[in-house]
Amino acid sequence: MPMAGMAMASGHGAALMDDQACSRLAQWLGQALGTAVSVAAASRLSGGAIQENWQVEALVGGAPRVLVIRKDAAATIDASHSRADEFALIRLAHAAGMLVPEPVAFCTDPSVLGSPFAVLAKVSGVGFGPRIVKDLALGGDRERLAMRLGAELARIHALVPSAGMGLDVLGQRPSDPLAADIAGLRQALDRLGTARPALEWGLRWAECQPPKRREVTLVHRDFRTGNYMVDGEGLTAILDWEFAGWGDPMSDVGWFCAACWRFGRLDLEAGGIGSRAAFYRGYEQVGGRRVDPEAVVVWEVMAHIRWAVIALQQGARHSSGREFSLEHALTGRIAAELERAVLRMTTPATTRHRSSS
Amino acid sequence: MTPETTGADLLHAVEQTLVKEVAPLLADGTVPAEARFKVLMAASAIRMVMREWHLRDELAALAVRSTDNGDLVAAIRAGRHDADVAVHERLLADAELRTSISRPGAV
Repeated sequence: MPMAGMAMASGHGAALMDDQACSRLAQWLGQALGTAVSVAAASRLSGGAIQENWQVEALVGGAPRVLVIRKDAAATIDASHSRADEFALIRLAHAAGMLVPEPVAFCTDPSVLGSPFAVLAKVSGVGFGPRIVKDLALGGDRERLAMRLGAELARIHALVPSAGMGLDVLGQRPSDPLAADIAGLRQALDRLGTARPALEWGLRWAECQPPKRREVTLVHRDFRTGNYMVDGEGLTAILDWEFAGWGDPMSDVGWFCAACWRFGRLDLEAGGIGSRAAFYRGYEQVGGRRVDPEAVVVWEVMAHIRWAVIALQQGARHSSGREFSLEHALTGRIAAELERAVLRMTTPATTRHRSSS
Repeated sequence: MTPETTGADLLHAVEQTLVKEVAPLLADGTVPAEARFKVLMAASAIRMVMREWHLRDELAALAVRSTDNGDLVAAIRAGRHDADVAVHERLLADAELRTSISRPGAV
């Protein structure tokens, strides 16, 4: 459904932003950047289910620039930050020298494009997970790519939010991130109102595996193949910061390595693109923090549960009547195979109950 | 005598029409790529419905057993089924059956 003021002309190829929206955007951008801006074209990119992405070709102070606009989709799922928070996080990562799209400006005025939006510099490369996994012409040497991604993840875990950001962006710092995630997922399941005993089984299993180490850092929470971009040489950007917050750094390692994010290449345990050893090596060399393989196992189970809950939330967006979408309806059905994976990873005979110390 | 076309036959015909006749027409670049993607999604949903139909007896049996799922959830949370092999086997069998409907190719 097109947003108000963003009617889409879908006659040819991608959907286009109408002329009036383009001129409102140009005027606002000109004020924000303090220079003359004209917008030549704005077309919708294949966006996520949570937000809309638009590519904008503009002249900024006479120089051509390709920008990306990220704005919320009609209905967003619960755990997602607002665009403003995500923009603040990207600014923090950019200031720390990380590979993220350059943050250009943020618009809080809904009269420009219907809802608040972030403007970022366009990054070249491919982000689509299944393509990155299959097309070996992308990403350069894959073991080096896995190492580089491990190194970037370690850099995220070393980020220190500045005072000016406001801690509300990141939420409360949990003393026990695993327990906090388990509680959050149980609450999400209760809110969905459907009994999912397989996911409950997995959550209870995780609850019985208290981590030996209790660390809390800034975590990305969606660091996986499909959320970074590569070109022919290697990594070009880490994307999708909307879930970032405080957490156990091993949760990001587990999310990246979880089998459900390997896009069919189950043998390549680092996101379907490289070896787990190379990814861990890159992580440990940069951060100085050791990977705790036992904790990662628990977080890989948690990753499947979390993705299943998100899939069920997407399905509910359709089945509740809030938003008609065949894609969301089908996404809800992914939960079954994720539940199967959770149960296979937590077979009682192989369960090792760790003593908490 | 030619047997009457069944509902399953019709669904199969719709699915094949979408995949073999409609989708190729949408790949010539004159319509948004999204249109072809949606047609293929619709075909995928139809295949899912067909598999669900074939497994209806097993699913009905599962539904009977699932009536106590709310209680089971509470018991699992309370730790009353920790390392319970029988519960794990039952949940896994359910998940296997539902996966064979939603994604039969999944390893």
